[in-house]
Amino acid sequence: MKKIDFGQHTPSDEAKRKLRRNRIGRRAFAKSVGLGALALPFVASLRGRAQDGDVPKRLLVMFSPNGTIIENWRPTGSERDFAMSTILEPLAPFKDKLTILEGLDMRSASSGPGDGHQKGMGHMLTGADLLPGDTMGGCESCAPVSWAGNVSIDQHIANHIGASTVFKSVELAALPGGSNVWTRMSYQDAGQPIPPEGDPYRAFERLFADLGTDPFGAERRQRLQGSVLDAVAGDLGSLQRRLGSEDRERLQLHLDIIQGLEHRLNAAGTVGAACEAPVLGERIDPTRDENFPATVDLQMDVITAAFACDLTRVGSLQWTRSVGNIAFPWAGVSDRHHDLSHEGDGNGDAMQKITEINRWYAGKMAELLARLDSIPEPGGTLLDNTLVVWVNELGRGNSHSRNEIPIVMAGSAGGAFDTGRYLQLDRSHNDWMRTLAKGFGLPDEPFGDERFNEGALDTLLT
Amino acid sequence: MLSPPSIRAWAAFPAALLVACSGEIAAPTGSSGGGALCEAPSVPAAVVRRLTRDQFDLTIRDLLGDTTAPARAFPPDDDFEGFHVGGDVSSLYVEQEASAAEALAEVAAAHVVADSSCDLASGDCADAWITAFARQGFRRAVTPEDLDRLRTVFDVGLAEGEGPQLAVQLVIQTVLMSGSFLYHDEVAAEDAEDGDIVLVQDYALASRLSYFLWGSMPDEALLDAAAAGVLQTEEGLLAEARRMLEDDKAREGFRSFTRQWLLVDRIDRIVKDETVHPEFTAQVAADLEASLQAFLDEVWETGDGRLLYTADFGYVNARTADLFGVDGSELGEELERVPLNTEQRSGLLTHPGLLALNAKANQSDPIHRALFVRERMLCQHLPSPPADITVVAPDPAPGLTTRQRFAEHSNNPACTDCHRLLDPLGFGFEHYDAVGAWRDTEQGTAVDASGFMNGTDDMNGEFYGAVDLAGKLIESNQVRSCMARQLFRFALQRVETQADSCSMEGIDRVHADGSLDLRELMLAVVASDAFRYQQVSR
Repeated sequence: MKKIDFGQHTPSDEAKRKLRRNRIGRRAFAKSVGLGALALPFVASLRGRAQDGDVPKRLLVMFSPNGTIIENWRPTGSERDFAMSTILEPLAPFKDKLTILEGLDMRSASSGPGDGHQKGMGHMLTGADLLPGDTMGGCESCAPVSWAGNVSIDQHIANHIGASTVFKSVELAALPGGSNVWTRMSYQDAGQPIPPEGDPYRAFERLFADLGTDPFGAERRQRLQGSVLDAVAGDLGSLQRRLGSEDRERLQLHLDIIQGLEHRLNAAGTVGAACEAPVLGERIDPTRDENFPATVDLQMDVITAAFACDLTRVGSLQWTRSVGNIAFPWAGVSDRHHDLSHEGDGNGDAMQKITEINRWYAGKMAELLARLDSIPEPGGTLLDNTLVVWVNELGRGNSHSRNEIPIVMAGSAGGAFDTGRYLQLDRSHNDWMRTLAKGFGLPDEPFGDERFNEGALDTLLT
Repeated sequence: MLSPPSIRAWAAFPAALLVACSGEIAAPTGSSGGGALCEAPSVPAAVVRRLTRDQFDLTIRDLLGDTTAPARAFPPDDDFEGFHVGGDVSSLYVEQEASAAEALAEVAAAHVVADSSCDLASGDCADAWITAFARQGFRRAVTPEDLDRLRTVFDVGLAEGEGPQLAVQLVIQTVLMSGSFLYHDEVAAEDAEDGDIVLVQDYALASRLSYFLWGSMPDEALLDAAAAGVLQTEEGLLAEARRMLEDDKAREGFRSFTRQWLLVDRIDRIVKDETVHPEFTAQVAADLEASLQAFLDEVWETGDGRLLYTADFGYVNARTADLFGVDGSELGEELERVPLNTEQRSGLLTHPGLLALNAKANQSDPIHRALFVRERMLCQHLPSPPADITVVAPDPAPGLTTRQRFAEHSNNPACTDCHRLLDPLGFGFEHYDAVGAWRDTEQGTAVDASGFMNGTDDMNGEFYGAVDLAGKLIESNQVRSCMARQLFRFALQRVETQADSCSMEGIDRVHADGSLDLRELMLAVVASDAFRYQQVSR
């Protein structure tokens, strides 16, 4: 029988008390959600895990769809002395921690199968041609394509920095839609999209339910669930052996995940020495459009806590999907986002409304940054030890242009990125992603389609 | 790297794909097999499929009596020609499925122990229960290896010293997480070689049948029939199929099919611009979904698929009366079956739920209404706009009707190729506004709903309005043939290919006289080589 390991250190009495106080089991959670008894706001009483030793670096990708209005997005001024635009104005309090990137073109999306939105979404974090196929298009009239053809940059980095955490990465979303190339941005490998969790309550349960389970409970759980997982693996293996070669690969993927669960089961108790799970309050239906803002807020709470607890070091927040088509009455816009994005440049009303929607997303990013920045960590705050990246699958909606993708980065990932800047570039987004990898300590090598790799954008790094 | 599940089926029949609109629109696949020799069975290779979310929920309803539909919270199934397919697993899927399995097992175990006629703590009783349960869960005979594995889990639970309930719970959880439960195991006999065309084995065929007709697992009678080998003959298979079509569970199967084919479960998510349509509340959207479902249930009871296009009735309550254009003064909360104005409504094409689904938030949408007809009713594919062309939408001009604003499509050469197939068809729906209500005028101008159908085998020409269109659609062989194809795709979770052309010919014979008997159509799918045979992959 494995002993429970509380991490690198033997917990002090104080830590043990905290552990008990912070304990939040599956049932306690179900009760608090199911009965709706608690409706407390998120309390930022989180503490980073490592008070000594290396502070973890994190990567957090935030996505919003349908392009921007670049005239209302572009800051004015020079690299280190600039004024925020209408859209980016809500981010002004974090100006010193931002890097605003103009002129990154999704050049890889000039090649390969797919239409504007499909390529935009599939290339956005992978920088390579989509796979040919027939059915993952996303819509009735969509071009025949399959999934993206490369690992995505967040997963590439997670493979490097995510090995020691309970979750290699955590993908969250609000209204992500069905399963097709429009709705997936993270890829474990070519043709292997990672579905995001669109329900913050389920995300909470997945991430925090085992946190601080008492040692006796954890031992019993290892014993019982371990036997279940062994038998499941045995059954999968025997089915796998009888299948054809291609299907054997499919089952191997399943087997690997079961083994990962077994590994996590046996590592239970290694996290949570000094962190608290967020309180989500009364359950709302995250699949309804009108609950979108509340879902966004909750998912930001969940990822912030997951970082603070060091449950993961790589996350993503996908707000709707490519072609996301909800209205934004909470931002004064009763038309739907994608419908608006098809209006011509001469439609000032539509341009104004798209501006409002993007400004609303900037405001949400500012709230996200505030959450991260409120948690002290060695070297500053959790935000300082994180690189947050806001991306879009298009530059402009009505032309479906994938040039001039609006990108805002925040935080420096522990001082690796040089912030407080507005940069006008003219480079491929492959080079930008390559630079992200370099900033996280990976070797400087081409990322995605090599035809669009010139070299790292070293100016982004310190 | 895994290739996507669909690639193989696709590669087998690339001709179904259109690369540009300038050519002729794609005919339904598999229809060009005329004159082919249809003696030796021909089927393409297929990939192993996982239970879809719908299938998971109906299966645990039948296996455990659980109706909480936990799979609705799993990551969505892959979209496949409009149907849901269980594709590759992800960590998120496996974890959510595991946590559902754990919760389901906890509830179910108490019932198993309470209902057991022997002492589950004794070895013989445990083995008997495990064998019976796993046979249902795995939908096949239980092997000694299976029993061994599950017995080990059972004993771990028993060793906790809390009695047999925990042991039972762990076994149920294990079964629910097993590949034998989660995948459609259609592995051929060991002596079959790569590329061989062989009959689908007994139990796998039983599962094909029950997931097609019921959307769920086989019952005891069907498993017994599989064990006795009677499904291997066409007669034996059809006898079981007929029995199953009489069962209430077949209605659930048809619901599952129509939900996917017609996007029924998206209707209660429709949101309209509240400044233009304040009357269209979430409750109205939910009513419309229930209304369409009630209509489809009646179509299933009668078995007459022609009603999908020709029905002169609808299910309406007080809140939806205006949308249907009926007098709501006698109606209340409940949906009631009422006659509709046949000048304005005819079957599902004119159902406000579908009209609202295929519309913008504040106006009609000829493009998406036409696409719905092309893709779902005619089984045609249209490519998207050329990828690298810059299409800038026209500026709005107040006072213009939808038809006038769309003139750009026929004036701009970049748009014409595709939009000649969409706009003239979609304009036929202009009598219905963004919420599917009838309108006589738009922007002060009388609505002109004259339409033109092109690119079809047998129904090209002018029409006026959606009611006229519906009448023409049901008389079209291509439309009935498309319905058969949709059932085929749902049944086999793949697209028909050239290799299936003989199967499709046989199925199409059923509706050649103009009828559209849903049960006969399903039986023809069951009897086809595509359903009964498989190509071995090694």
